Amino acid sequence: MWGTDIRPMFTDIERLADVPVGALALDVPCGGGLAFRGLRTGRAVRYVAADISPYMLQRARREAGRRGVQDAIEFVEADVTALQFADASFDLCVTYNGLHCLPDPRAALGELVRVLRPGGTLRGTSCVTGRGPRQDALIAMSRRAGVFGKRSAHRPNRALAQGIRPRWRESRAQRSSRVFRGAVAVSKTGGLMGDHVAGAHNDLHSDQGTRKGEHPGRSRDPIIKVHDIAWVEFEKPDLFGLKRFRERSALAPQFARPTSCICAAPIPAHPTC
Amino acid sequence: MLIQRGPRSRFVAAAYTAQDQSDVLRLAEATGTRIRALPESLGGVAVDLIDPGGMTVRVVAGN
Repeated sequence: MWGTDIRPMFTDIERLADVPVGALALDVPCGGGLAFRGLRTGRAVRYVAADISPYMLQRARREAGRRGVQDAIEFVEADVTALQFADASFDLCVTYNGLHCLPDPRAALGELVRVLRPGGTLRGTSCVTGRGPRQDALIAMSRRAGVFGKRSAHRPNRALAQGIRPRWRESRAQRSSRVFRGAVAVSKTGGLMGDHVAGAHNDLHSDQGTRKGEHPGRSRDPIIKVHDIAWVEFEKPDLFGLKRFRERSALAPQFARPTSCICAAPIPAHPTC
Repeated sequence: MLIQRGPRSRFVAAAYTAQDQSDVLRLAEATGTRIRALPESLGGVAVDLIDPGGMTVRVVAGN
């Protein structure tokens, strides 16, 4: 879906096995225990797995039990933007695929740095804008659905650039700070370019040419210019399970917005909502 | 966000709104594809394209 290579993320998670004995690590938001695969049974690492959702913590406990690492993990309900831990508590903080869900990733990064001891390590991954038109469209749509932070949210990569960058491992390419602005020029789709037509398009973004920071793939002379994103479509094998998950996870309130929907029956051509 | 049941979890398509139906038609003509009516519950028309990465891109316009 994202057109990204997630192997570096799993490689990074595997590095948890190298954490020195006796070190104290914080994994937040731990979600369903994605990073537990990096833990090794019988290794005396103190590991705090924190999440704001009791349901996700419950899933994380199950995952830890399945992997036999539950004894090393302390499960804590916590808001990553307001952690209850003292300053300089942890030797290592990891945060995988969670920051982009937050309204204010900058606050979360600030907290992670606060609870990290001097010289400690912060590692993680996050979706960022500027990877490509499709990815940016998905991010914009997800933001509109309320599950990807706010449209005006500070971008994690920008926050990183402003002070706490050195220890961050950019395992998802996130060098760009370009941001999706709401209008996409559809061009080169099928390799075609067309005449530029004024009139209906005058109020659309791309009439002003490429803006600073805009995605470099945008055509200067598109066939048409789209006005907005309409929707993104997914297929899922278990719609009822998805609905249950949404109801129980921290994402539930946002998912309850009318922009998301569950289709309870297979639909041959197009979904309805 | 539209989700329908399928054999596996996958991203299907992104759909964009055109300024009006004539833009959808113009895009269809330029790309050698046909416009089609969307289901009644959604309304409007759409043209389905494949981006260079192989993903489906729909451009839609209402009535």
